Amino acid sequence: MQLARPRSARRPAAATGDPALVTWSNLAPTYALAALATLAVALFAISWGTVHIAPPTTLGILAGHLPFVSTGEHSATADAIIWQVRAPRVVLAGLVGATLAFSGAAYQGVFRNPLAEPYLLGVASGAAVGATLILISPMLVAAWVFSPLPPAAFAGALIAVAAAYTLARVNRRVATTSLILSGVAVSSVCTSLVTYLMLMYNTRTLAILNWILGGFNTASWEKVAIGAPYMIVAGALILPYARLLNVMQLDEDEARQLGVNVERVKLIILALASLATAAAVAVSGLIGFVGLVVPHTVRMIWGPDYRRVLPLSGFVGAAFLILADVVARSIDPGYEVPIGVVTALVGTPFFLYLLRRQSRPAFGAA
Amino acid sequence: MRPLVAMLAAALLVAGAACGSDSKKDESKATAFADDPTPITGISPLPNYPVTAQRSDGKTLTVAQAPKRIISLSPGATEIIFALGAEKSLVAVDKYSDFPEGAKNFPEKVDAFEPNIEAIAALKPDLVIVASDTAGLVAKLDELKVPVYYADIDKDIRTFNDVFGQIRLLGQITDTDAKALDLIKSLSERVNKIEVSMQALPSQAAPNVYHELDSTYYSASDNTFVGDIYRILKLKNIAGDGGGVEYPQLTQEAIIAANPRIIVLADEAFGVTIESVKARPGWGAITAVQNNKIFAIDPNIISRPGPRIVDALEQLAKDVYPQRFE
Amino acid sequence: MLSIRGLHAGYPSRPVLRGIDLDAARGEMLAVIGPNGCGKTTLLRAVAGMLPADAGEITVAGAPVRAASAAAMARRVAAVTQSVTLPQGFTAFQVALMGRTPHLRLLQSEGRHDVEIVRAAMQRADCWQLRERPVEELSGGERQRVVIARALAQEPELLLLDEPTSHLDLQHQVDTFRLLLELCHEQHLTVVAVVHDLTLAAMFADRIALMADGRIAAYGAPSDVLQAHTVEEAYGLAVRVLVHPVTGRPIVVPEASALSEAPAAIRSGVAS
Repeated sequence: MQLARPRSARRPAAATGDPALVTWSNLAPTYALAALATLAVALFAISWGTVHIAPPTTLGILAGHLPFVSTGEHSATADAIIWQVRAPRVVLAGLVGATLAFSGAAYQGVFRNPLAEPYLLGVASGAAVGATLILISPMLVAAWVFSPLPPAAFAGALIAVAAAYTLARVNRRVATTSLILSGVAVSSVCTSLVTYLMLMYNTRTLAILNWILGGFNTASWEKVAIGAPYMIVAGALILPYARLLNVMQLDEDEARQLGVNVERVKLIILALASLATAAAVAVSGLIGFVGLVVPHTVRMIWGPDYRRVLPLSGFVGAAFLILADVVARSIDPGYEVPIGVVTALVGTPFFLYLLRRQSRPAFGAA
Repeated sequence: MRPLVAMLAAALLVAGAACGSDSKKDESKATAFADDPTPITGISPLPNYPVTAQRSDGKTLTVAQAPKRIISLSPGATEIIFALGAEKSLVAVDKYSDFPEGAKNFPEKVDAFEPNIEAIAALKPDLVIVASDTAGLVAKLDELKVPVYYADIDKDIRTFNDVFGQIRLLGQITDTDAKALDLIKSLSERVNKIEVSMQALPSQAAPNVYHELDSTYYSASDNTFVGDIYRILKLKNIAGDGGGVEYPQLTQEAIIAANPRIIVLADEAFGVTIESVKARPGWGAITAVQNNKIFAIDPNIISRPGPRIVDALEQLAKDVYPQRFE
Repeated sequence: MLSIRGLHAGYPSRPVLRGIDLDAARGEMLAVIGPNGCGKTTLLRAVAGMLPADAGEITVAGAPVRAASAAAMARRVAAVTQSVTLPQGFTAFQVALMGRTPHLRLLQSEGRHDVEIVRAAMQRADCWQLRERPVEELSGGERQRVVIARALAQEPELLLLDEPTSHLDLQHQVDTFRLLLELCHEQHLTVVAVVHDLTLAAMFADRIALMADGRIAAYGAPSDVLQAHTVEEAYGLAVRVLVHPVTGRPIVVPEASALSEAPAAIRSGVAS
């Protein structure tokens, strides 16, 4: 059946009054702008700290580390602070923030539930189990050359998600409600286990709590190198599924009718998002709030099309967490404030403000 | 039969008290701070029993006679009791009381963090020494009418003088007052020796020190034991007042910027070694790293309110000022 | 186009379809009618591939439905179901545009050609003027037209509809069916529609299948199927079948006795 003339050699002109299309090419300027804005935030954050280093010096030091660029001598202390302490911290915060936000958006899209967030299937609690097991063992944890903590946390996270997925699977189909329930169950078991171990090995309680609370004060280029590949690759691989995520906002039967292999798309998106989140948690602990609120904020401002929501959540999440980290290390100069506290205290009022401005929330099914 | 037993018991009690107080009075007069140049504030010779002590929760403990079944939930108090030779009066110590050997191998061990009230009560103690009031332990023991001595290790025992006060008090309670005074005398002599030697040092030269408690840069502020040690050694603790927190977490940036001349590691249990600190990215610029002035110390001797804090002081003095303290 | 042989299907707790044989030729409009619970929706779901068949064979354009991939099926078959979720925040145009999904590859985005198709679909479904409106603001009838447009945008060869006009007013009901009929004749679209309104079904359908109790009770041209005794037996209601003076198609109305004879319960209520 044909409703219109077939594609002819000459492209038909757009009729007046046609709505604008969302395509990768016409979104490119938006992405570029967002990337630049995030970069600006990052540079600001690298220039800001308890030790005052003038911005030109900062930029000079950063540029000096690029290959083939030489910008003269800098004091060893300033170089150490900028390049070894602040820069990896900002980069890691940006990566983790981007990952948590776009994974949150992906989870919300698959579950069609506004309360979904990347820790739903047990990534966080599974990672905590992995990290706790290492911390209570006699292993040397603080070794800088190779720390067993991130891989253990990563493994724990993946095992938990796999368990949640397997438990929810019935006849090769995984209903989203079952998945939520199995995720909650797995999380509860993991959390109880961590609590029990924390109390049994109570000289380690502070170390475990510290890891769980999360933060970037032990950020290093090494941690960036460990986590970045997963976060970047997963993000790049999820992006093509953005259009299908739009279609999945119809209920599953309708999406199937439109030819979408719903089970496979769900599995791919959840697997990629969980993988990226596991890597983020492995290098920075359990930072909450970002994965839940940033996607909603992006939706409220830019609409529900996932071709915008996914990448823009990434950029906004990165900027948000970078700024939150600036606050965490600057609010009491010289001392650290737990970043989870900052994200909640800073993000909640802003989110409430946005909610009030909207006449209705930009989510859910009509 | 019964009136006879009662009279006998009463006679014994009176005799014991009389004997005890007589000898104690004499000895206490004899050793009262004659040659001790460091006066210990707030403590004066007291009649032996009853011994009253202020608890960290404001209540008062009254001990009528030397307890025979003490449970120590404070590793520091355990060390003191052993140093006083009063370990026979212990029936149980906590899991982390690991010094001296006698404490480490003590047959009956109790968990201080997750205190099992029933297990404690079942041992029929006549004194429980508590260092941190977890899970409302003190209130529960009060309800069960078990005598409790509660001295909060974080709030109320922070200086050398505080520790000496604890030694004195425990000496009085366990009827080893003479030994306590001896111990205090020898300990304060050692401290004094170092303080005197430090007087010769010009205070501007005070090098700054970074004291590390764990691998995420938790440190100790001036208002702790550790802070007190550094005060005596005239070292400037980069954690300062901790921003109001006793054990603050520092940012890497602040540590590097403060450029400490000395680094003291109390976190070997976390796998931190001198080599691993040197290998930290960005730390190569720190003076302490460049001059190899990184010292490890057993966290148990530096943070436990017991006689060994003086060992910690001496060890650090030797590390930091090798010429002065050979 | 569509061929069903010996179809048994249903749910784990109860079987619904007990052996269905049905055909729909290319360019034909087939109306499926029957009382509540007879299995009309189940039949549609089975053909759409939403429900696995317990026994029997369903073939669309010569290819068995069982073996086809979802994407291949979606390029041939479009379904408009009764319960429709419309995601908030999307405009009517964006929702209709989703109908192009089966024709796009993973990384591909919609292009001019797709916009043309959707425009044509929306114009024919009379909802083009709603294109920029968020779907949650639309009335039930408007939403239904958008969903029909989406189905048309799929460019299917077989269109399955489950009571597509339940929310529409008379004019739109007639318009919708007329559109479908046009598409059947011009584009050789095959339409299988579950319809409640017997007269509407009779007006437009080429053939009617009357279902009862999971089986086909009658199947053929409207005037053959819609006979008074057939309808009465299936629906349990006395009816009179009239003949449209111009088209000659049957018109079904309840019998006069059914109007005056109130059910026993109400009669006793009124009397007391």
